[in-house]
Amino acid sequence: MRSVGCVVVGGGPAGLAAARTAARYGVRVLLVDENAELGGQYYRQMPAAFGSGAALGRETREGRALIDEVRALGVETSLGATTWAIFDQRTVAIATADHTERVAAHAVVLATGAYDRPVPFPGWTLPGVVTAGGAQNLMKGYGVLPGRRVLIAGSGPLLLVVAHYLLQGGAEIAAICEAAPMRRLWRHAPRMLPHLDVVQRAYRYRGEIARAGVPFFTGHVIRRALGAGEVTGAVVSPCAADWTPLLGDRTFDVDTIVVGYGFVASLELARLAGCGERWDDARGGWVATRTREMESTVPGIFIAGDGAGVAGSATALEEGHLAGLAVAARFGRLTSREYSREASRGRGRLLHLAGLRRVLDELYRYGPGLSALAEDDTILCRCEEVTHAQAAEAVREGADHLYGVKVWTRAGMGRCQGRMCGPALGELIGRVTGRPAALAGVFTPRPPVKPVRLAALAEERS
Amino acid sequence: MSPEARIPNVPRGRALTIVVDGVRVSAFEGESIAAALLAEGRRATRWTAGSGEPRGYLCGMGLCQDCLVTVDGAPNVRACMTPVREGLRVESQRGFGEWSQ
Amino acid sequence: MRLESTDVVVIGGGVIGTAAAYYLTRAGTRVVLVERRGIGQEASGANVGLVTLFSGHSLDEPEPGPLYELTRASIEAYKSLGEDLGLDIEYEQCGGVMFAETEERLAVIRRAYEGYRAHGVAVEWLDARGVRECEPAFASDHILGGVLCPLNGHINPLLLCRAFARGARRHGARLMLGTTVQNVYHGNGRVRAVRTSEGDIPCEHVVNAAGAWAADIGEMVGQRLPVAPARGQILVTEAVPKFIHRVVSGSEPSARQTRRGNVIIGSTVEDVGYDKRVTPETITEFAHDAVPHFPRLAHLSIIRSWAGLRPATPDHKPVIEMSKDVPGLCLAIGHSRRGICYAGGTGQAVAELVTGRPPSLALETFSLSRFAPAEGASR
Repeated sequence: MRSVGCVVVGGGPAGLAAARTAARYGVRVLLVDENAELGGQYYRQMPAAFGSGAALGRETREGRALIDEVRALGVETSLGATTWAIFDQRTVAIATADHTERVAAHAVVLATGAYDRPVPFPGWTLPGVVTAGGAQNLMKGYGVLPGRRVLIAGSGPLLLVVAHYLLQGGAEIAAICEAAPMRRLWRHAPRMLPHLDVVQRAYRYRGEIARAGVPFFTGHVIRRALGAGEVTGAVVSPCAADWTPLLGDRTFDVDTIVVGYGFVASLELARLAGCGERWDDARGGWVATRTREMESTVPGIFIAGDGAGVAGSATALEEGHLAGLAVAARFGRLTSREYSREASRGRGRLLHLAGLRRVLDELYRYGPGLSALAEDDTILCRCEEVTHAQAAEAVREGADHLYGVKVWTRAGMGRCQGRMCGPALGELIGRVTGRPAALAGVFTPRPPVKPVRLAALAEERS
Repeated sequence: MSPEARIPNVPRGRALTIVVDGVRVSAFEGESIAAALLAEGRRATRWTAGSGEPRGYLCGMGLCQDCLVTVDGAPNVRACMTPVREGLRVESQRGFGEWSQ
Repeated sequence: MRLESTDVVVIGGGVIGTAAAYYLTRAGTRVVLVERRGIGQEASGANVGLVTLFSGHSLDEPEPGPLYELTRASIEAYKSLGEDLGLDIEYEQCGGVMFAETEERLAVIRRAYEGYRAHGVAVEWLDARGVRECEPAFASDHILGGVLCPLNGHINPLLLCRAFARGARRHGARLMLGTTVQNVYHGNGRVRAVRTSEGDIPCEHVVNAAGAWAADIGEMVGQRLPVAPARGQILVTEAVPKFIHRVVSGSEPSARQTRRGNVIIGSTVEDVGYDKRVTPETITEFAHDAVPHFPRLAHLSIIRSWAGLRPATPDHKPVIEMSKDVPGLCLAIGHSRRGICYAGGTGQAVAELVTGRPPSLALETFSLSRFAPAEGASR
């Protein structure tokens, strides 16, 4: 089994930043990503075959620069490689299409990012319903529109970014539905002063949207996707401050619904490695527990970037940098004075960004009322086609934990390994039992945390 | 079926042809199968094993497992994570697909 | 805190405990089942789900005997259980093939085959080609021959536990989940009460169905029970159209396909205490060994894995009897690798033993006294 100084899992902003910093201080880094190119979601690149200049937006170009820097520093990269487990002593298991290998890492940085929160609502499984991240990947990554007439529903500044790309790409937007009430924004003005660049960008996007004649509703949620074989319309309605749907349906003719209600941190590898986590009410989900050096509760395993939306990318870069610094310090690559100085600068920048994140967390605070969108026959587990009613029946029969519902209904037993149904299932258990969703727990992490072909597992190389 | 959804003025790889459910479809080198299908307005990639309901591209990052198609006879391949190449055979699948290899 | 008294406290919510609770309530007794986690969350929910009348264990019992009868009683129960309770427990008698790759093994299998056949059990002898025809998904260049048992099959063990639990509840059992047993009070010649984390339950009888933790309960009444955890690791593939039709025994690891289409590959037998981790060595070993035998597996992805802790006795046979040392205590422990095969029969036996009815099965083989004191037996 070969040994590497630092394995960085995930080639998005956090992973790239961690790899860059660690490599700058002379640490031998292996950066692993399951995609064909580095960048993750936020820094998604166009395919190499499209040519080196291909980019539809700022983020792609920014990402390209960082990727080039990381490569120039001699960081070893493993692409199309899935990290499927972390075993004892920071042994990282990585699989490609035809083989697997275990790497002993002295330090691991988990920069696995986040994914769009799956929100069940009637019709959500219809082709034509795509997540905000899915729409972005298509446009930024391939220059393809998810559809021609789109309704956007969700919460947070990312909706504006998606709208921008759609409009630039020539799509029509029927409406944008922001769930948050967005009232009395002036209250946040003082705390937004240090972040005028972000405010300016938001206003620019809002201006573009208004000039395009796109109706922008606040305090509205998606209710239903209409259509038989694919989306042909969308129904929205007003909602309460906690996003609980209210009366007052409005229907739009669309062929695509982009859904973006925040993010779920990808913590499966961290969980498998034994890293601690805690429930975050503002996010309505689990986040990893870390020291200010970005170290998890497991020595030698660092966690950077957890995807808190648009502000998340700047935070991810800083967290990655801090993790890279801490790793370099562990290897004795910088004096403790240098480390103190650099780390405190980095923490200062993070603190600055934290101010913005706090405002965003308040403005776009996750609304548990979303869990009231689903009806009895709405699919909860997409992979195994388990409905909300079936899951609720299991809870009433005594299954008050994700595991219990899983073994009786098959929810969570599909190919997505519980990623798409976990959050909503936790909320359903909370509703039926009358207890906080956090108490419903998580699906027990076990290897492999992503599907791996047996042909690859059978071929272990050292 | 909506018309061509490729964003104009984007430099792409060289043109090639894939076969989708027996029909020849144009694509560009570098595109994922999902991008090529969606560019042509093809949404449904599969019909579920239990109730036969249509599914398609959702997350675009290989997690949701809904964009599964059969590629060159091998079922349960994620369209969003698989690049096209000249002559690739893509079939939408019913349930968990057929094994024609 | 003193809780309402009952007739029987069943300790353990796995397949044995829930089966016992089900049959006890149907026999008219009042039952409280105490389980510290949830229904079927240990070995009962972590196995391959095989229900076999003729398999590896038969080679140790070359004529159908008590183990065979115990399995047969369970199969009869499973056939109607689902329907009775409105729950599909996915029981399928798809037939099982046991094969040999060495002459020595072939002879052992042949002996068992003849013993079973002589007793009228429907087993068929297969030559090498017969084995391959029975299960075309299975590949081996070294098969010498084997046995087909049409009555072998599989079940969904999670739903089996759910069914028993549902049935027990319907007949009046109280299920206390997330509740830990802290002590078993016995005095004046019999069990008196069970202390739990939620309070004390006065009772006339206690059933020890605590699986891999049976010895802990035994200690509460001064018994040394010969049950130790034996870890079994299992891998599961994504669901694909049916291509493995039988239960195949004789290769390690085995592979069987569920109703949904997932292929379950397993299992190890390891002595690692209460460690339920899945190891990278096992994953590699299983992949490496299973693919040559079931070539199509190469294309499938593993999406899940788990490990269970079997309650193993030194001879792999259970202990099912009323304790001779502690009146009122019933032992239903040590089902080793075949808990799912024995649960229905065990539940019925427990109900008979506790209510004092004549047992329908010969249970002498399952007595605790067969273990010498050194191996662990009651004081």
